[in-house]
Amino acid sequence: MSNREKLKKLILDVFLLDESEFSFELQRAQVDTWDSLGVVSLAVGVHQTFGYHFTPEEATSIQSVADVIKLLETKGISFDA
Amino acid sequence: MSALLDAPPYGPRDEAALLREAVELTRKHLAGCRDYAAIWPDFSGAESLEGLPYLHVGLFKRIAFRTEGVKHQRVLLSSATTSGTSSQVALDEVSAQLQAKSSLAILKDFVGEGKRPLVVIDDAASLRQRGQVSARVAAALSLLPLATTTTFLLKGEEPQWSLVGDAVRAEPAFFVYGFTWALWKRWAQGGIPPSLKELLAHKQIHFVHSGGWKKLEAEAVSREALDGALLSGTAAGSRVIDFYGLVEQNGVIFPLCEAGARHVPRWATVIIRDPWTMKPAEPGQQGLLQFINVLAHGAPYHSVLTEDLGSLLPGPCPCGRSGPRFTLHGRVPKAELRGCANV
Amino acid sequence: MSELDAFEGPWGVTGIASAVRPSEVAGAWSALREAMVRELPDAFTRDEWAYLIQFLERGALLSFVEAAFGRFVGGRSAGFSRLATGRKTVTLVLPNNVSLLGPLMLAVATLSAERVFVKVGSRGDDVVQPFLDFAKRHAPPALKAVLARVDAQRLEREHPTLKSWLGASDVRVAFGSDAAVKAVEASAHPATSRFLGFGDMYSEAWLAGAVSDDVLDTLIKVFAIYGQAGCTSPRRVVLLDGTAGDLQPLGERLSARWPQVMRRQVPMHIASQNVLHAQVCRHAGVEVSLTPGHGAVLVRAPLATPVPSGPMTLVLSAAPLASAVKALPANIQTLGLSVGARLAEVVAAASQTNARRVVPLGRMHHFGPVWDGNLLPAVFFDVMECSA
Repeated sequence: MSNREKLKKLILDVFLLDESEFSFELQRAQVDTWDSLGVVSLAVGVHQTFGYHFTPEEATSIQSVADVIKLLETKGISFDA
Repeated sequence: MSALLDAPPYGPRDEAALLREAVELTRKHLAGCRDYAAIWPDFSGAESLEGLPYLHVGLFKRIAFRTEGVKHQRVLLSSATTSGTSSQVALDEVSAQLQAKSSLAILKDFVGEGKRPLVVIDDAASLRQRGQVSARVAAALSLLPLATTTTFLLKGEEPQWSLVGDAVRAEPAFFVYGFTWALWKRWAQGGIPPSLKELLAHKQIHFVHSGGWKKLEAEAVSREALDGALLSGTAAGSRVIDFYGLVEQNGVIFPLCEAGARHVPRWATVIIRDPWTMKPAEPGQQGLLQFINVLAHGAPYHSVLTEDLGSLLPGPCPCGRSGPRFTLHGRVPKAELRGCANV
Repeated sequence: MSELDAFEGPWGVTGIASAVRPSEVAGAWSALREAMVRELPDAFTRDEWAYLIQFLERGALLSFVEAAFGRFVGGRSAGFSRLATGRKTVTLVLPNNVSLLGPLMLAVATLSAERVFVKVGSRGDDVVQPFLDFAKRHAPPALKAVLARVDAQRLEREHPTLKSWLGASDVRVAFGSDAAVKAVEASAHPATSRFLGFGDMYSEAWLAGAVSDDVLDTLIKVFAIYGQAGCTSPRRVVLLDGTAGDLQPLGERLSARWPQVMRRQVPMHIASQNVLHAQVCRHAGVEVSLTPGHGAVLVRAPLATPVPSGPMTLVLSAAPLASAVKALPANIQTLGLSVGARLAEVVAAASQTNARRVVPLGRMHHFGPVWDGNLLPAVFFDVMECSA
């Protein structure tokens, strides 16, 4: 499974979304469950899936799926299609 | 005195007269009660009963409201609550008469005109308090006009069963009044002596009770169980009448009708309010009960927002009574706010 | 010597010579988080659960030990300049309505103590027991061993079991009213036992400069979690640069933002109580409004005006810094600040008050190693110098 697919699966799982609700352009403001619990659940999920541990500041600064990718890429995790 | 009380409680309603009297009463309280005027300083009139100011029931635990211009008599105290604070309602001469007339008319509608002995599941000593009267006693007093004799079952904690036997021996029918819990504990489970039991089997008994179900629920006693226990071993025609009332609506009581509804007399109304907006709710929608009546002159308890939940029932009632009616769903469920226990 | 958890500070390396290794306990709690992100127990709000998940992260928990002994540097078996030993038995006495502070303090206590007794509230909406139940259900093996050292029971304050716990405890921690805390402190205990009491406290928020929507959103979140029931919750907001005339627009902005920030309806009894408290405040002669959905009561009043307290009543005042300092009660605990460029001046003024915590507005409820004026590890550990 590619990192993009892993991330998609994680996002669906963490925010309780249907496939149809997902896109890589998804914004935090569009997702009801991307609240405080969503933020920490995503951080824990990223740690489990990609081995990187967001700092609290990083976790709260993320506003979109694209932000997750951008941040993880700076840590050497590639999301090339 | 309100002309609304001159007709039977559940007959045709005159909503315009009710509104007129309620607005007039509101103005009187605003002029005569500074505590009330501080809370509703801008009232200029209402085009519907929904537009009348109300006081939240919790205020009566904090503020001793009193409207000048009437002769005050006693203070009515609610039963002890979980918070340990009682509500206080200032009674006056005029209201007392209206309230007695109201509760009598309502009770007669449910138990008939006939007078008979009354057995109160309480201690007579509870009546002997100067200047104040408890909700329990006030409810018992509302039955007094229908009583030929009054017997108190308890002396301290001890039941005086022989007094009951003496009071009812020669009568075909009698009333028993008590708080719901007392009726269960002291009568249904009270260990009535066999000789008295034998006597009661030939008596038509109307059990009238009020007060909460909390303690009974804690013991998993249902309404059916209570009614069954009370009525077993009584003569045909015996009944159990559960009425709901609150001291902040003294005189207006809401017995449960045969069809399971609580009816509002023509000198009162009920409004169900959405707790999050205070907008009046639609029939069937659950909300906070607000009661309005035109009997309360001693203090502004003529329009009270309660912490009880209910919903309006649509259409006519199979029991034949007219006017608005509601189902009582019980108290608003409470949970303590989390914190450091410093409030 | 077998390997000990080692922490390095300017004074050298401290080894934790307890039967309990903090790093292992922290790791055990941290592993529970995988289950926590998948299931939210009914007793918790999403915000509370999120905070708990963050708190139980291994590094975050270890920071409680690091605050006293320096950076965690792994296991070592020699070269220590100090040895710290966790006090063996800890009793936590928690009130009925204890906030997250209950589970948080419990987790911190397990980092050092061999045995942790917890008096959970005897009634009400307790969060400690549901948390322990969850932990037991989902515990990885390492956490099972930690939980086996915890004994939590619903007890009245006078219960003999609690007395026997307190009588055998090396550390006693009590939350509650002043009277309750004093009663716990007075209960028989070993002569060397240490006591931490968290009694009646008051907190306030101070704003200065431009008050952005973000600041208002933070204020709403910080207040709405516990209302006035939280010792770290602001009961009053003071506009340090404002005038009385600024309070109405501030109230209107808060009201407009409230339902956007607190999207879930408050429980019915809170809505009803807020209608009551708005009437109580009107009766007291203060200006008052209800937020949409009756989530809170906003009162506009000068500092000197007494305002009746209500569970969700937030008082808005405007006053110069000197007046705000002067008006603080003796039991001031947390000052939450969003004061922009005036930070240094405001912190200097706050340092002259009884305040135990002066923190950014959004961190008013954050629980850290320094709590209520105490460095927690200094209470939970004994330290031996061994530089020879």
